[in-house]
Amino acid sequence: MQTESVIEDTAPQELTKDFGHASTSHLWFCGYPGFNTQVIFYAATGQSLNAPSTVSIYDADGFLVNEVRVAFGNDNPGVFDLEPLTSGCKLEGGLKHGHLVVTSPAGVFHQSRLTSMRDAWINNSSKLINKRSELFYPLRFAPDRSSFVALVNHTAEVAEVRIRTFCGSRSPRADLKIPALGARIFNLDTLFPEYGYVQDQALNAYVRLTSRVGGSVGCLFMDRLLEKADSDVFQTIC
Amino acid sequence: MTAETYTWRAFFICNDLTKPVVHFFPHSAGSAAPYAVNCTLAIFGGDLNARSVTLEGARLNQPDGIRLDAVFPELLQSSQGFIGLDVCLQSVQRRMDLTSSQIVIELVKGKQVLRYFAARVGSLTESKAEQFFPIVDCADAGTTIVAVNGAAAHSRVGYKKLGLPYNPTQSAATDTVDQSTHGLEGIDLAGLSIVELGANVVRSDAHNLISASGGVPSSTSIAHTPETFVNSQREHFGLQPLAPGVYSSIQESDAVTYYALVRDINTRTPISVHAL
Repeated sequence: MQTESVIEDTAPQELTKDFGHASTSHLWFCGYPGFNTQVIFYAATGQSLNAPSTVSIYDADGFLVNEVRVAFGNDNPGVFDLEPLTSGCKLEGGLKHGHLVVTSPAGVFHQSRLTSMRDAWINNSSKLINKRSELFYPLRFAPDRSSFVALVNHTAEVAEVRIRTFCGSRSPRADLKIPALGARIFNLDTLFPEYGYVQDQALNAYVRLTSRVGGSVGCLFMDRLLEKADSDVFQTIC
Repeated sequence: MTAETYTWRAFFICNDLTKPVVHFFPHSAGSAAPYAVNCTLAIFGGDLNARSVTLEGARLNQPDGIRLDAVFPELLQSSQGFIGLDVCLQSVQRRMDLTSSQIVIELVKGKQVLRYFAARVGSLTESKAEQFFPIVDCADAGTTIVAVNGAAAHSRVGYKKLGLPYNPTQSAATDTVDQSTHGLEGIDLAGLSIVELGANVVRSDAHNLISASGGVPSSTSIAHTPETFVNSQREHFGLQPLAPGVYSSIQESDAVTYYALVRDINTRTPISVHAL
């Protein structure tokens, strides 16, 4: 049996889609050299993947750099590798990353699968920050690792996120802006240098992220192990 | 009248190398005051006797955490494999909604740290009563599903094999999923226990992909389906027609929470966990 697979390349175009219909997922993607990202499509019982889904790739500044339509010729899960479609994305924070919007007919689900040199993660949906929902996360500032947070703006307006660190009796904060439909990655050692660069020993801390302006922002945390100069390893995506 | 209790159900691994830590962030939307919150930790499963400890001193909007082997010293003496954990938050203020609180489980193994957000019990909606999740095995990592039954009673865990990996030798007729022959299988998950549902992966040298056979660990009663698939890698412009692996859906109940667990293929070390 030949499985029908359809890809239609489309040039970058003005965003006109309504994100509120059908089944829409907002995911963070990251390409070489940090990660490889795949999107996995799967359908509910009785649903089919025959109908095309739209995969829109926005770079870190929120510009639409590629948009394709994907269909799978049977009802089984399908895997879509993003690497060939992300060459137009600019580097931001040392990584080629951005915002991925996947829209499918109702009953079709998506998840992203991120793989690095050593590890792999699956992600159905990022943790959301908005006016009603805050996020906290434990961190470890240590000489052998750096902590990063990736923020993805799901909406067409600039989002503002406040990140506050709790460590001992101090709680410094930083205000971050994420472009409309874009993404940003922040090194927490840089945001909070008093913890990141002067510690000889590991220091446990928490960060708390809140948003007062703008819509929902997806959030992922990751660590980079500084094992050797030429073999940084990303791990612990949550 | 006592305040309502909110429960998160998770699992962890504790042995000589892996040390678990639980982090909790009591939070109530719209309330910024640091009200006192009681945090009760309960462990179950494995070869442990179920036990709970209540921690005092937690405050609303203030994150905190503690090593589990400091709370439960018996974890240092035995306990291999998965252990269940219930984290219950209760505010001293009546009618305080703590549903937006968050619990993070951290497993520390040397330099390697695995963290994940725990799932809240009772958060299921009717539309989410059946979850779909593909078990995908690739060259570097394999995925399994961990079911955690925190209730004292048995619970039926449904496990539906919905599709087969793409096989070019199959006919169109057999490639279509037949629900009558791929109906709901299941196991009776004993009370206060944890089970890992997943695929036994075998490396396929032909295409550097992983073939998979449906099945579960030997400690459970699900029948193995020993098909071995070699996926024909039909990549063009990044599109793969099918994920290698088995495809499952699970039926949820409030007693059981589910997690996707990704293991390193070679070492079987857990590398990421995601609440379903």
